[in-house]
This record gives sequence, structure tokens and C-alpha cells, in this order.
Amino acid sequence: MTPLARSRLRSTVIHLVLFIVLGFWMMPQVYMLSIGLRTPAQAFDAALFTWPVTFDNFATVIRDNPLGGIFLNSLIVTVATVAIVVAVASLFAFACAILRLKGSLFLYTTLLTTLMVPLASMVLPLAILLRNFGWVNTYIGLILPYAALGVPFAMVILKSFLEDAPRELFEAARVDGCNAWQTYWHVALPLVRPALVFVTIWQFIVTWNEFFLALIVLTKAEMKTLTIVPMQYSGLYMANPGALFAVLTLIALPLILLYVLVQRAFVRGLLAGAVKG
Amino acid sequence: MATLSIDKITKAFGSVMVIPELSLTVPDGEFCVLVGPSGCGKSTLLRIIAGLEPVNSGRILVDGVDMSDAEPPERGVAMVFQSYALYPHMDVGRNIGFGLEIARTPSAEIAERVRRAADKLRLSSYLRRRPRELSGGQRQRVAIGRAITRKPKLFLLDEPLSNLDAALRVGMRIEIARLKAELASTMIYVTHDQVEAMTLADRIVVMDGGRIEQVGTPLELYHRPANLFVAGFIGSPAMNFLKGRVATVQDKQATVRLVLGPTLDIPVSKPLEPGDEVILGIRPEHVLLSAEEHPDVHVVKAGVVELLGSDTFIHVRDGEENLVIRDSSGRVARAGDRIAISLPTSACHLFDKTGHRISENAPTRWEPIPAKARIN
Repeated sequence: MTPLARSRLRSTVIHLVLFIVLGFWMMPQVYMLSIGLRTPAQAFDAALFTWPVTFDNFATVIRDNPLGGIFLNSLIVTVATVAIVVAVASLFAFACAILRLKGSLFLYTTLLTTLMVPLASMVLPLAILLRNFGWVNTYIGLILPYAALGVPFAMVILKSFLEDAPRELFEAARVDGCNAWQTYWHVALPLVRPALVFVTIWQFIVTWNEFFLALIVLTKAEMKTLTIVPMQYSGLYMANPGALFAVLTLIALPLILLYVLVQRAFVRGLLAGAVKG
Repeated sequence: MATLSIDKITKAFGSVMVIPELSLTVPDGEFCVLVGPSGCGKSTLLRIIAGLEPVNSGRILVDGVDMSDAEPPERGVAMVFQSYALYPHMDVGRNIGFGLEIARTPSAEIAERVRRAADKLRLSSYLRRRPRELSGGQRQRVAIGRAITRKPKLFLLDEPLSNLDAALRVGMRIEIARLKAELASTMIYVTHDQVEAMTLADRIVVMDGGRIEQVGTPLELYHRPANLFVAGFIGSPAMNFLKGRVATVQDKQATVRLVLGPTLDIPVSKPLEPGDEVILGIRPEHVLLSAEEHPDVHVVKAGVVELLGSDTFIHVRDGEENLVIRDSSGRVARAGDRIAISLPTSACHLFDKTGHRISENAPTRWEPIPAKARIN
């Protein structure tokens, strides 16, 4: 076998293995879409695909729920949370990694400990706190806890990116006359753009998909977020798997769309040329 | 343009003292080069001047005004970093004009000053490119452009050529020499490359261990090094150091008997006693290949011979003593050749055992003994 043929064979085998892994990986998502497109009689068929397909489940979900309003609720909560997390985490990371403010490392390590605490253990105190503040059934009642829970992880990511950025760039900004805010805005943020995109996508997914806290905080129908909707199609005495999976598909669609849109923003080699090396 | 005065500053990182008390004045319009081995504190000193590092004590004065606690822009400094430090997300034009943008200069003026800097540095056709689309030399020119558009009082350059390859370095060195003449600014340039120091500087500051070893013009340092460190640091290949002992002293002239063999009469400026240990320094280019019949010759055996085309470096080992001879005559020497050398006293430097210079002012000119032949 010639070296070229061997190289092609190896490439084919690697791609084949990757496609198989991808196939297994995608199976739950494909199954979710497939069940959403089935009639009630086919709902529990073991087959991955069934025929004929029907859009009745999607029609049921859209007819049963004010999806526009619910979608808007999810969007408001998610976008506000993402904005707060990105802003607070990037500022905190900048203060720790670049300004090296006194006490910032202590604050950083303290915040990190919150990553170790499971959400379930915080739900009851949070619920009491939100009730005392009068934030039950309000956007802010979800946005602030989500943001508080999201900041530590985002901060870890952004801090490590900023620490890896060449320090001379920040010193050059100082010599150019930038104050701390201008250095953050003009130099630090553009430098960590790939990390910001990652944090944005991650926080969007986590917030969009959050169910537990939303279930506790939001009791009024008009304040519901999307993740609470599937509950009504799965109960102790009643189940509509077709509608359940149709609504799950609808919940997943914006995330897929978001990823397709922002993944282009992962600009490779943004730092290339900044410094010699 | 401005006069910089460094007044008794000290700098320590934790318990490590990197700059014990240091004072220096750089007059208005001077091109001052800080030179020294890695870790000698020259970059730290530059960063202190820039305002990027605080001092532990002492003052930094610009035109007589205490700027010790001032931020870089208040000091009127611009700095070219060793690693270029160009903003990767901005194009060349914005990189050059960024300082002006921050200073809220009107955009028309920014455009004009960026255009002028780009013309001066031959960057006009690259203004819309990102740093990653430029070569090393072009990036360094952008970094210089960024500094000159702000019309700084003090122009600081931190090893600006050290990341360039040898050919590009020569070209950029000439560019900087041209800029120096055009800008006539007060410039402080850090390098460990003595060729850059010698060719660019109005005055060189040689540093070691955070201390200033000597300040002087390039030729002063070359011809009158104050101590062994400066003597060994300035000049390439480094100055030869030969051990000796004072035989007699008469009328401020010491007769020194070298371990290598020869005995030389050297004028001295400090009192010496017979028997004192001394070190004689002579540059490789001042060691003469001589004719055997000359009374002052000493015959040695060539060790390693390095042929560089224009010059030949002949390494000699005689007992404990090492000697490098630079021969520019074009003759080809071979390892093992017996060669006759002479050490012209007018080109010799004498140091006491503590390393301080004790010989009289060495003349910048000396009469070479005509080299007639090499002995084989």
C-alpha cells in the first residue's frame, strides 16, 4: 500500500468512527423530533422513524398555550441574565487578572465555592428570600438568582483568558492614556471575544433550559417560561408524549438557531500578530 | 523634548532588591542607551521611567517636575515594547492613532497625524491591515508609529529590535538612527546588543546588578572602560584579560610582568606597589600579529581559528591564560600555527584586583607595529 493510499484509508476510518459516534450522540435529539411528529398510536413504537408523520402535536401545543408570551418571558429572562453574567464576570475577571486589585483573589476564591453548592440545596432559601423581597412571579426573581449562579463559572473562563493575554497590551494601553475602564472596553473585551461568545452561548443554554427554579418562582400562567410548558403533557394520570416532544423540540429550536448564528463569531487566531511569538 | 532626572531611586520586588540607589540625568534631546546583561535592571528602570512600575524611594523628574506618582500620559512618555504590543483587533491606522483617540483629539487631526507617521515609516499602504497580516519589521514600525504620533516628551524603546532576525535588525537599526535625527527627541533605548548601543547612542549607560557601572559616549566606553565589567561588556569579541604583577613603579609608570610572559610599561593614575596583582586588558583587535625579530614579540600557538571572511578570530590558550586575536589582514591562520604577537602598551588597559581602572587615559589612537609576517 502506498503512503498516499494508507493516509486516505486512515482518514476514511477516522471519519467513519466519528460519524458513528455522532450518530449515537444525536440519537436522543432525532428521537425527540421523531416522537413529536408521530400520531398518538405510534408514540411508543420502538422504531426511530415511523410513517406517516403528522404535525398535529405541534398544532396542539401552539393551540393550547400562548406560546408567543411564554417565549417572550423566556427570552427576557435569558437575555437579561446573559447580559448581567457577561458584564459582571468580565469586569470581575478584569479586576482580578489585569488590575490585580487588592482582595480580588479572595473574592474570586470565595465565589468559586458557590460552584460546589447544588442548586437543589439553595432552592428553599432562595424561595423564602424571593418571597420576602416580593419577587415571586417577577422576571427579576429569576434573573438575579440565575445571574448569581452563572457569574462564577463565567468568571473562571474569562479570567483564564485574560491571564493568557499578553500583559504588554494592557501596559501599552496605559501608556496610550487609557484609564481602567477604557482598557477594559477597548483592549480587554475585544481580546477575549472568543471567550465572551462561549460564555454567552453557555449561559444562554443554561438559563433557557432551567426548569427547577422557574417552577418554584413562577406560579402565574402569564409569567411561565418555556421549560414549564412540557409539564402539562406529562402527568400521573395523563400523558401526551407527541405534544411533550413537540414542545421540547420548540424549546430546543432557538438554541440551535443561536449556535448557528454566533458560532461564526469564534474568530480563530484573534491574538495572532499582537505580540511576537 | 524634555530633560529626565532620576534621583536616587530604589526598586525591590518583594525582598529582592533589583535597583539599589540609582541616579541619572538624560539631557533634552539626547539618545541614551541603557545596556547590560539580562537581569541587570535596565528594563525595570525603563518601566519605572514610563510609570509602569512604582519606585520604592526616590524621584523621577521630567523637566524638573516630580512625576514619581504620575501615570504614563502625564509624564509625556511613549513606549515601544519589545513584543510590539499592537492591538490585534485594530488595523494599523487605528493602532497608530489609538493614543490620540483616547486623548479625544479631533478625528481630522488624528487622520493627518496617522498619515504623516505612516508616510515617515513607509506604512501608508498597510493602514487598513491587521497586525497579523504584517511582517515583523512592519509590526515594529507600527509600534514606533504609535509612539511618534503622540509627540511624546520622552521616547522609550525596550529592546525594540530583539525579536527581529539579523538582516531585518540591521535595516531597522538604520531606520531608528534616521528617526533619531528627524525627531530630535529625548530617547531612552534599552538593549543588550552592544552594536545597537554603540551605533545609536549619544551616551551609553552600562548597568549591572541594578547599578550603573559607567556612563559615557560610545567611544569613551570603548577606549576608557571604568572597570573590568564595562571593559568586558563593550566590544565584540570581548576584551582579553591577562593576569600580571607589578614589578616596579617609577614616575607614574608601572612595569607589569604578565603571567603570559611579556613585560610592559604602562602609565598609571593610582599608586601601586611592586608585587601588586593587576589585570591587563587588551582588545582582540589591538593584539598585533608581529614579526619575530621585533623585541616585544611573544610566540604563542593558535588554538581554535574562526574564519569570518572579513576577520579571523584566533583563540590562543597559554597555560591558564586565554587570548583572542582579531586579524583583519586576510591571511589564513590554522589551528596549531605558531604566531608571534605583540601587545602595544598604548592600547592596554590596567585594572587593579578589585576590577577598577588604574591605567592612565588610554589614547584613542595608538601606533600599530607593522605586521610583517606570521611565524610558522
